[in-house]
Amino acid sequence: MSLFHPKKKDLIKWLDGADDPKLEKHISDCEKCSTAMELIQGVRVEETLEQALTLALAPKGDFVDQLEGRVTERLDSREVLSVVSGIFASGLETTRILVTEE
Amino acid sequence: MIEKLDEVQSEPSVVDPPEPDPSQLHNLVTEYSDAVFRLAYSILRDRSLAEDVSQETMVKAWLALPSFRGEGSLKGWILRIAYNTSISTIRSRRSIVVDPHTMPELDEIPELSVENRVESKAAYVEFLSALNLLDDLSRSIVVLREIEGLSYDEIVEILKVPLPTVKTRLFRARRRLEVALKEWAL
Repeated sequence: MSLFHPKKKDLIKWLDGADDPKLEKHISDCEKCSTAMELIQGVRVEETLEQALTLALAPKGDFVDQLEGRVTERLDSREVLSVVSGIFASGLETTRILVTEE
Repeated sequence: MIEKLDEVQSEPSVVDPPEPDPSQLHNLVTEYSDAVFRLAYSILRDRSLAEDVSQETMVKAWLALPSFRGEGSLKGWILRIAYNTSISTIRSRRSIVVDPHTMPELDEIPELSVENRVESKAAYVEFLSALNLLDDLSRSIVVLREIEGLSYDEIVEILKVPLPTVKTRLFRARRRLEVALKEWAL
C-alpha cells in the first residue's frame, strides 16, 4: 500500500470509471480511504438508493401468501412421497416418476 | 457450515425430514421471503424466475434448517441458499440462451402512488436502466448492502468473493446509480 493517500478528486475520478489499478488496489487495502469513500457517497445517496432499490425489486403484493401456500404444498407432497419411497425402498425421484406417470 | 450449504445445492436428503410446523414455516416465509425475492430478482432480472427461486430457496432452507448451527445470522444463511440457487438457475438458462443480450431484463415497473407517478416515472426508468447495466455481482452486492443492511463480512460469506472486491464493486455501483438518483430525489 502506498504511503500517500489519493486526493479526493482522484477518488471521484475513479468512481466515475477511470481505469487506475494502482488506485483501486490502494482503496481496497486502505481502511482510511474506504471510509472516505463511504463518506463521499453515503450522505448523498444512501437513503434514496435504498428507497429506489426497494421499489425496483419489490415482489407483488400477494407474494408472501402465495409463496407460503406453494411451499407448504411442496413440503406436503414431499412427505407423502417419502412415505411411499420408504415402502418401496426406492429413491425420492424414482418414486415421484412412478407416482406421477400416467 | 460451507459443507452444509453445499449439500443444500442438491436435492436435500429425506432420511429424517423435520416435522412440519406450520407456525415456524409461516414465520420463516414471512420474515425472509421479501429479501430472498429481491436478491433473486436482482440476479435473474425476471420476476417469474425470481418467484420460482424464492420457492426453491424456502423449501431448501426449511429442509436444511435442523443443520443450521447458528454460526452466522439466519438471514445470511438463507440468502446464501438464495444466491446459490439463483446462480444455478442462471447457469442452466445460459446453457440454453447463448446470447447474453437476450437475457431477460427488469421487466415491470411497480405501481407508484398517483401523485408521484408522472414526475417519477422518467427518473424511475432511468434508475432501472442504470441498475440493469450493472453486472450480476455488483447488483447483488448493492442489494445485500443497501436494502438488507448486511455487513461486509456477511456479504463476503454469502457471495464467496474477497472483501476488496465487495468494496470496490459497491463503490462503483453506487456511483453509477447516483446520477439516476439525483433526478429521482428531486
